Amino acid sequence: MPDSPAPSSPAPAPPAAGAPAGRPPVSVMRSIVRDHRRQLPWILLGSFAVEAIDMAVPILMGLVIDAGIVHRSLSITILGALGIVALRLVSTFSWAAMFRASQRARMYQRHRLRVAVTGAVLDPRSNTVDRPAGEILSIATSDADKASDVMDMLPWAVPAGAAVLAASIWLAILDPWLGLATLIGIVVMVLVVRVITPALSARYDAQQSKAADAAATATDLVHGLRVLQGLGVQSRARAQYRRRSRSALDAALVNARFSGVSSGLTTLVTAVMMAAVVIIAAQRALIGELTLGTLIAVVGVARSNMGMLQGLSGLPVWWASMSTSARRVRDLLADLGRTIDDPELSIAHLRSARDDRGEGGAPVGRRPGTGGLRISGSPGTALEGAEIAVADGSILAIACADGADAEEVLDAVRTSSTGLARADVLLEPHVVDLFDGSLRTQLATRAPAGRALDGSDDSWADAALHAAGAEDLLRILPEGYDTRILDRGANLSGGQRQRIALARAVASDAPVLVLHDPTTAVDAVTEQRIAEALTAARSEDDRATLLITRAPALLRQADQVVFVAGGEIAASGTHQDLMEREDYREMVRR
Amino acid sequence: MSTQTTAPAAGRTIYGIDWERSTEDVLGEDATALRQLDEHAQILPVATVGASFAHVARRLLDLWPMTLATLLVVTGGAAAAAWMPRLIGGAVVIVEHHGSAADVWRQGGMIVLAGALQAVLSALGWALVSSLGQRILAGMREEVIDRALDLPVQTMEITGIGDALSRVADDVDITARAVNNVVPNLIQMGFYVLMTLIGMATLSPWLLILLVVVVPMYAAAAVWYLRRTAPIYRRERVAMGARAQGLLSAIQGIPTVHAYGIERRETRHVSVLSEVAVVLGMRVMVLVTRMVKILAIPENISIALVLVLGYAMVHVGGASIGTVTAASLYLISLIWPMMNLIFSLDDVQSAAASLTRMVGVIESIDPAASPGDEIPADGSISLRGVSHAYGAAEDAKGTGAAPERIILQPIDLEVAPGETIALVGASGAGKSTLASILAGTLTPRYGQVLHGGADLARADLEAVRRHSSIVSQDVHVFRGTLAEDLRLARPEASEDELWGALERVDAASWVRRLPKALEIEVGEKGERLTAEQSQQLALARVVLQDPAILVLDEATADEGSSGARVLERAALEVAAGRTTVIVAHRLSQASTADRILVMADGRVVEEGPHAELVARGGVYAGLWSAWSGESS
Repeated sequence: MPDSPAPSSPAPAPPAAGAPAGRPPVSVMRSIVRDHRRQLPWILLGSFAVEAIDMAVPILMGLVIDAGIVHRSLSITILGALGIVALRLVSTFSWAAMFRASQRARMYQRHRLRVAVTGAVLDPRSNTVDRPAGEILSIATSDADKASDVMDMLPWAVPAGAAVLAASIWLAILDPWLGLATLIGIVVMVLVVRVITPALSARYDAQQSKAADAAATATDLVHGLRVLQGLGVQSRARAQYRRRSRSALDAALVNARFSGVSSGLTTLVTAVMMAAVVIIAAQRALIGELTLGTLIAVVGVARSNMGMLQGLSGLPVWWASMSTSARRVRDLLADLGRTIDDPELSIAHLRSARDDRGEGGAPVGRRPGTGGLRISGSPGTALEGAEIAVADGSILAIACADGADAEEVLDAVRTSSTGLARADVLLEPHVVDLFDGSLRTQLATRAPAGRALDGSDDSWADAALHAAGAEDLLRILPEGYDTRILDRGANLSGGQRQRIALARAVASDAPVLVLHDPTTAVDAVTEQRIAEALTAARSEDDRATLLITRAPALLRQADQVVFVAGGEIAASGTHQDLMEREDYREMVRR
Repeated sequence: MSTQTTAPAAGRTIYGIDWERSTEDVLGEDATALRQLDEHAQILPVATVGASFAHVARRLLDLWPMTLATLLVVTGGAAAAAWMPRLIGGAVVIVEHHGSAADVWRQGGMIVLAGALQAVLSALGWALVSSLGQRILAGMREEVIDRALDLPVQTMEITGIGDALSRVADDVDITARAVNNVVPNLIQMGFYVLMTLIGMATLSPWLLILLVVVVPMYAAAAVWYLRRTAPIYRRERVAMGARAQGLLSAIQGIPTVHAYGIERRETRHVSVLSEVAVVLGMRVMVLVTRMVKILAIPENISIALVLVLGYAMVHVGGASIGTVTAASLYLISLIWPMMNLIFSLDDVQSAAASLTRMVGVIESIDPAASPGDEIPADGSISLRGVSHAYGAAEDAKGTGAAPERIILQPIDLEVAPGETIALVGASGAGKSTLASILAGTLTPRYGQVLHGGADLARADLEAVRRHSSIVSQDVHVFRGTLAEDLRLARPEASEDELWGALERVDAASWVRRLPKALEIEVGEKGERLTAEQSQQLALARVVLQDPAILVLDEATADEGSSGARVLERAALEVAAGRTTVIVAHRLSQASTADRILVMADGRVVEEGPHAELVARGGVYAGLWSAWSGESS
């Protein structure tokens, strides 16, 4: 089992941007089609039958009118009608089977692409990518959906195209002029579409970006609502949104005009082409070269043909948006250093795979001590050449006068902890992230197995909250441990969030626990309480704790403090000892 | 694998997914997902479908000239389209009666004419419907934002902003897409179907028999379909929302996800929600196939009938073959629009759902209005008998409601203009509540709050908002350029004034170093600013807004290893000359205040200047000695 290195936000050695080593990018579209290579022939066969029958219906109706009504035969009329109905029933049922199969494939592909992207993005072994979260979300949702539409398009577009072709050939056989008129109709339609579509999609893109801009402003204002209300500038924010909304409206109105023109032009082409077919066919019928029934059939086929063509004319745009989406999925996966066909990104694998907790899959009970953590500084950093040991049973603090030094210390801790199993170290990030779930679920994020999650025994959670000075939360939250904590702790204050994160870290009972500035969002009174309770909770013989902090309350509780100043270790000792130093005193008093 | 809870039943499982499993089964042990999908209660109000259509109808009436023009044009376009089968039938009549070649050419000319008319009217109609829809939508989205901006922060704290966000963004987007494509198409199709039916009925009374049989069947099929799909769509929407949120929070929380080694758990969470969404989506598709099968009945009946009735029309009623041709063309050209109408039902359904959510916000939340016209005279604050509580009030009748929880005990307080007071106390002592009440952003349940002598319950809204500001720990940099962000506080500020404000909060130097200085893009997609820089911007906004009262609610608190001092200096600089309330985390901030209020359990337990409180040897003195480490 590959033991992945402790992850870090700035990757220790990021690979050259855009050039993930190893696997070449795999076409997502091709992967989708390959996935369904066994079903596709059947689906296509079914839809060929459907389109053929649909095209044949007007012809048959013409023939029945001719043989039945014109030639006055009630039995032929009735039999013909029944025959058409029977054929259409065959068409309907094969369509239903085909549609079900192709839609199922499409839904499955949406799910597969989405899960693969999610798995790849969250996997610590993937490369880190610097893309906004919103963009990744839209790739995993709307692009995954659009790329999968290929399973919707293929079964319809290919047979429909073939039906149009076959109908045109039939018309050409009946009369070369009819064939020519149809050909001209198709060419003009394609030309119109080719000319209009780019102009139209440019307009549409412009409209979309204006609308997206307005929507982004709206979400941004709601996100910053507290700040806006705090400042009392709601009316100005309103004016700002109104400006964006109006400019989106202007773009939408232009787009509406263009869409109207495009719809009008295709209508016009259809009408002219119909007129041509009617004139040619009627002239031939007048001189008796076509029967009345064939005339009716020709007119009916021409009409269906133009309808289908109009539908097919949307194809290029659809295809373009589909392949763009497929490319976006492929590129994101490539940036992550993964491919869509990676078996580790398959649904089956991700559904059953469990998080690494050291032994096999399931979470295990209390993990034994690791003998502590040894931190060795890399050259050129604040800890160059130094060896700092956080022994089992001890609480060590590193106090950095400068924020940049603290980052270097954190990097050193990350690199040094790679020697330990991932399940043995917990480096709680300073920036708090909470995920949707009850307070109990929050605390149990990495709790050892055996902790009751049903509320039958919350003593472990009580202990964790106590260590984080957060017992007051139980009084404040309406449903205690069962209170839902929203994503990112949206329903909590900064101090509450930070203390829940701290309690979550304590509840993990990690053999090595590293905390980075865990009490910056809490007040002096609470900080003092936390310092005492936290160190008491971690004082076990086989537990090592490292605090990276400048808070005097925490520093006082540490067994030993390493003081980093001016880019190097300036001193170490107990807090009381170090308080003799002027620079140290200056730092902790802030 | 032993962890697989349910062995997939053979037959229903295709591609490893059991497409007929209930959503609860799919979610399995993911309690969070279960709870997310079970969230029946909409947090913000939702209007009924009827109320929503009434709302849209009102807006259509407001734009009545355009609405009328649209109606006329669309009807005309549909009539021109419905004329076409008749003209073609006319050509058949010419052949039937052995007319001349010139007659055929004339008929061809008529077809082109009708086509041109139809083309022009449909172009115009499309544009009109779409712009009418866009105008109405623009009006609605602006009102939704108006209401959202006035939502009390307290509501947001309880519910989270997810629902509000989806109203102002997703719902607007879904409706806009519908207005772009589906709605113009649908309306034109609808009128076309109507005109065709009229055309058929006027063509021959025989065809009325057909219409009477077939039209109710279509209507019944549509009702059958909508009834079944509506609840599925609702669930699917909730699942998609939860899926997006789960993915977003996992991506944003990647450092935590990796630190805790929960990447598989989070992937699985997104995966089950995604599976629920596709299983539900597939369920809709199955309903579509069923409906198409149902629709095959009226379609086939009408095809058979048109032939049999055609026989009767010609040989009993003495109609021409051309009439039968026209009738069958009507029929063929009707099947496709009907299908089209029915296939766009889901877009319509989802747009209608979004509409009810938007109208719900507009009609149920009252816009903020000034409670009176009192104007604050100076920077003083007085609290008279103010207290605050959550939960049901004592006089509430409902017995089942949660009991009232007092979080601020009755307090009287006078703050002089220009005075600085500091609030000190443990978490949950009521500091932030008192600070919000002092700032005027939270209305206390009992008592009176006066700003500069004006009672906030009878004051002018805009005047009060301009008069006091609160800066909290939550920082937010608005998207757009840095200058735009600052100008939120004072739109007319000159560039010099912006620099002046940045100078005062000590931010000018780093802003100058940015590639485009004031014109740099910031916010979500722009330059990422550090927490410290963002907070400096917040303070610079205060300088520009220039309120008489400033409340700093732990504004300089969440500052890890650097910059605390910079921020503290900036805060002091901004506070100079204003009435200032500081919720202090660090006692160094409190020590410089004119007066310190020490709070515990919702009440003030000690009050006085720093030196006096230290000398008194009470709670504050204990805190101070612990914090400063002078004696332990």
